[in-house]
Amino acid sequence: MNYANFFERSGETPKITSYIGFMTMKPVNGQRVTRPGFFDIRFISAVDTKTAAPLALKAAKRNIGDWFIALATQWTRETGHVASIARRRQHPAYKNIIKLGKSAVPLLLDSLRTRPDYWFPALRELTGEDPVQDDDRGYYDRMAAAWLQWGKDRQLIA
Amino acid sequence: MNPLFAGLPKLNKLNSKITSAQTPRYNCVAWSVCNDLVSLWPDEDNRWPVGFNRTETLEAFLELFVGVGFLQCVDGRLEPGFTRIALFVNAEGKPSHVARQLPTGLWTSKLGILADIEHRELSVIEGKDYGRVAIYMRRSDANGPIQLPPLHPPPPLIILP
Repeated sequence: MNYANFFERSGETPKITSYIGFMTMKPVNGQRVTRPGFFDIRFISAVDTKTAAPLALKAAKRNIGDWFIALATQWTRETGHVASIARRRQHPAYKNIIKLGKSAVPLLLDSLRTRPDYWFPALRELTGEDPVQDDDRGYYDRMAAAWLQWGKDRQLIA
Repeated sequence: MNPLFAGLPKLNKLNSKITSAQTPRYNCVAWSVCNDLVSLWPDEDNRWPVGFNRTETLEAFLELFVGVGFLQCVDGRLEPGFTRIALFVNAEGKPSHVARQLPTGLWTSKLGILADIEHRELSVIEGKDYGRVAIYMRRSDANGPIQLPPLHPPPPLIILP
């Protein structure tokens, strides 16, 4: 959609209220028109994820894959050096991944293969399940294998 | 700053060298006791020795390292015949990282799920996330290779519906 044409047709002058992340255009009559997700995905890293979270959810409905990758990349980049998972879970990007809900589960499972990281707490949190045997905890490959098999059994991943 | 280590802004190519591939298979605690097969951390996803204090506290980490033969010492200077480690605590006083001294005097650190690095100064990884060095410990190489006590998985998780 060409938003410039949209506002031309409506006879209103758009006012850009935010340049970062999710762009919100406010016509002069005060009606709020939000179009998340139409900007270049590269700008996501600059988003203040706390304030953008509600809009992120709207964008996620349009393109959850891109949004997830942006959040996952941010989480690993900014907390990958931290050993404490409890501390890493406090990061806004992690919390926003959780806010994506169960639709993020296939993406998390895929990430175990493509971007290895400690996605296990997020998977537990979103699914309410834990297929990892106690003897396998602490061994990343075994934990990942258990979750991947869990995902295959439920046809969430190939 | 190496873009791989965005969270450690003091690191660069001049003061550190990447010495392994990126992997989540082991962490800094395991690497500090020369283990690259398992992640050791007192939480629900990692292993910790049986019967040891399983809390994310400095006391729990001290118990682990004393249990494998380390004793507290005053500094991180190179001392032939001894392996030193440096325990970092963050601003909240919680353990955040462990680095191990190599026979060359350089330090080796496994950075979370990222790579191993070698660095001459411990200060290059100090900062917001790792905090600062709280305790130095040393272990005589005459004691032989470090033997970890039996490791135990965490207690079963209770998952609420």
